Amino acid sequence: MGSGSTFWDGGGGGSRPSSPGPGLPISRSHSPAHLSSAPSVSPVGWTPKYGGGGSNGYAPGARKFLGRHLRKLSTSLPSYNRSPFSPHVGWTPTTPYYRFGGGFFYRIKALLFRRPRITSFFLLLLGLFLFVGLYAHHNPVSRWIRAASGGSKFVIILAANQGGGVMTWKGAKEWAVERDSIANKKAYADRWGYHLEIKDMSTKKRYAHEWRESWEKVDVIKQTMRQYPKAEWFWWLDLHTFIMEPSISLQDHIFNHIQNVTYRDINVYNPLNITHPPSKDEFFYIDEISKSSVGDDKPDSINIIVPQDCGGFNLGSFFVKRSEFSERLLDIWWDPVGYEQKHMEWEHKEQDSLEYLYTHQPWIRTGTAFIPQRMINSFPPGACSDTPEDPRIFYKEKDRDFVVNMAGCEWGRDCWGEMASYRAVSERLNRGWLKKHLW
Amino acid sequence: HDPRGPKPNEIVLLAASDGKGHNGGIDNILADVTPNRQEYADLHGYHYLFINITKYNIGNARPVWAKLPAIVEAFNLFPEAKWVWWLDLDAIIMTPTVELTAHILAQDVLREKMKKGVEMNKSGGGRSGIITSKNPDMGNIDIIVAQDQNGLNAGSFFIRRSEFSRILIDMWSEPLFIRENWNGQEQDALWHLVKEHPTVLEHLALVSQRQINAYPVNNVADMSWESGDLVVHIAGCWVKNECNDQWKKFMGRR
Repeated sequence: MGSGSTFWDGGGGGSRPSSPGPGLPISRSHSPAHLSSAPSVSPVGWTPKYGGGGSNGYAPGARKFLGRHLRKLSTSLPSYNRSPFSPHVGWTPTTPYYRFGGGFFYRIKALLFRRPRITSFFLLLLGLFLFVGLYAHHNPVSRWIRAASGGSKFVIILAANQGGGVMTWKGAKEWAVERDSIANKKAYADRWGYHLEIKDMSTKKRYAHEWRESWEKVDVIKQTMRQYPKAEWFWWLDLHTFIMEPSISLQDHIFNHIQNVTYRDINVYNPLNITHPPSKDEFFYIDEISKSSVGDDKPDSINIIVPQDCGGFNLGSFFVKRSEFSERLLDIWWDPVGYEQKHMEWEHKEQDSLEYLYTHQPWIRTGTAFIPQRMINSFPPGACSDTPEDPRIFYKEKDRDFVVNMAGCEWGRDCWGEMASYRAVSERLNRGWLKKHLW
Repeated sequence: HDPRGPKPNEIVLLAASDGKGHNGGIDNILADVTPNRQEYADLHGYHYLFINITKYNIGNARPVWAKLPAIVEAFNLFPEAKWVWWLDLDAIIMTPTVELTAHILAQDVLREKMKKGVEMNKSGGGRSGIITSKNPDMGNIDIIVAQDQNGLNAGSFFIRRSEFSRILIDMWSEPLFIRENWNGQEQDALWHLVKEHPTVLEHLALVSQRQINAYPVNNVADMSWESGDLVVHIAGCWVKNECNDQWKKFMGRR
């Protein structure tokens, strides 16, 4: 029985013109056998997967869909030739007509897939929509996809609230700088599906002087590694940094070809003049890998990627991998004896400590790789001011350096001014296509 | 790392000195020690190695620190060696029939014998708050050591060839530790590492002294050497100047 909802219901609708079909008694049942008994309605050369119809305009679904206009449409369509080989009575299609539940899907399919031009147009439209929606445009779906396909292995650790306003007042400019920096990292992480952890680096009582003042970096990294057990690489960024080229993903920039962009032999660029490979006099008990200037030269053994500036290692922007090596390094990095003996000397705290460990404990060299400074840590002209002509240090707009680290801007320079100007440069360089070409 | 423990030729007995004899005044200590150790090694198929540490240039560090390069040299000289047993010169192997793998180095035996969930003594005596693991991962154990009332005793310990122990040697021989000039020197340095760095504690097994480092005292639980125990270490005898006597006594008792 039907309430008129089945597409067999050709003659049911009262106000509709009567069927232009062959005047068959139209069955209200779903059984296709009845339809097949009509010899004129089994076009051949065409697998009747979706049910009968077509040869003389008898398309039951189309009728309801297009109503009055069916005749005009159907007669203008190419008709299929019947052939003497078409099956007759007793023929049953292998697939029931109402495979897709009848009305709606059938009609869509009828509209789209039986008409090649509309099909291809539709597919093109779909493709364009998917491309824009998932790739070109940045939205939660595209972020989810990027995160799922590898982005979630990266965690950006942003040090914020440096000092927390405890030792010095935090004015409007400091707040503005912080806001800009956070927004910049957030946009980057959202775009590529990375995680972002903003860590509060305010001066805490337990880090008060004589008890590891400002050495929290190592603790923070350890804690973040516990927070993201599935992530592989952790990117530490100081607050006064800006990602200038957000269209470059970390995978493309570094990790897909890590051997090419990093170097193991510090002699390539050795501002600290560290003897490398470790000398036999100082360390007669070193194994083959430690003796080699490039360690074991395998990408898998790279556990920490460190840039160097004019004065040595720079930990304003560096990468640490989750591994046993880094677990041990993070453990030994802070040592009370080291701190006690050296903290007055080690102005740059964990940075100096790492330089010290690298120099004195050969095992650390086996897991450390260096990266040219301008890959992740370009300086503004104010930093490293003793060597302004050194091409390896300073941000070059022409080369579209990836990140700027306004190191030391809080000592005598203008952090807010620098941040604003670099942000403007980044925006200008990365204007959308429209903006670039139209105004 | 084979859980069944090392084969005999994978164990090295190591002793070292600067050739100047014993500080506590034991006469002719080497004349006694060498056959004592060599016979033990020959009996079981271990290697015995004696190193004269004067060949190492350790700057102005105290001679005990030369223990570390000696261990590394032992590993280098015997490439198949898996375990090195460092035993101070002032120790006598009393019961040579004890076979090291079955006694302490096989993982299941060690798991039984190691002290789990026990608080370690601070260097110099007292509680430290550092508790050994209740459920250790036996595959991780790279150093086996005993403690007396003054904390870890580095006079007798086993160290395994592994990636971690390679790093441990680097960390242990940190120049800042040498500069720190602790009373216990390298022993305190090891304790410092265990105390401050959980990754080191993870790789350490604490055993009762009677297993590897018994003392010539009477009736102190876990510490006193008793008949059947592997080794007696005449430690601290210089306090009462009884080194020579105790040495002769134990040499006679073997």
